Amino acid sequence: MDLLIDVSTPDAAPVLVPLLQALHRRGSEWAIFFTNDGVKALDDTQLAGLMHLAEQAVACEFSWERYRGDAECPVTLGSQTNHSMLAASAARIIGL
Amino acid sequence: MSEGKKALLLLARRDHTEAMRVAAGLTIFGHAVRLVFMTGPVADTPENAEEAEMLELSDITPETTVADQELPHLEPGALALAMVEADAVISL
Repeated sequence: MDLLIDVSTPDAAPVLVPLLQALHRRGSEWAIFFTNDGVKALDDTQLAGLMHLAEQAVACEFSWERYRGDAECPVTLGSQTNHSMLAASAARIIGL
Repeated sequence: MSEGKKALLLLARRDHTEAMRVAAGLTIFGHAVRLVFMTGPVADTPENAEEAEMLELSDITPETTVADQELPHLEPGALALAMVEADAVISL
């Protein structure tokens, strides 16, 4: 996998949407992990609509419950174990 | 950066508690993790004490760029070197 994107800020969507579209255009393989109040970025419907392009899109279950309670999550719920696994398989890691 | 176990540098800028949780979690797949607190002292809270125990269990000795703390202090030059040496830098 080319890239893991860690999202830990709620206002990441304006940067993420064009970035993910560009990654898709160039055929990159990427995964994304949402943690802390970064899970709030998934409120952006345009961003949430791009998640199907990811090799894996995971939100920290602990963080999701903390900030979104019982709301339905648009990506897979996982844990910091998933984050560690994704970090192992990514050629590069960036954080937003 | 090769696939597999990595040397990761985690910069704790915005949320020290979350950074400790993420750092401990990153060790699960065998990554070597350096955690550097930035922007201010780590708050003395029960939640932070709990996460600090997790760091200890994960064999992570946190460092800080903040002066006069009870942690190893990283000068700007040492921080720059740590960033260069890491396979990836994660900023939280």
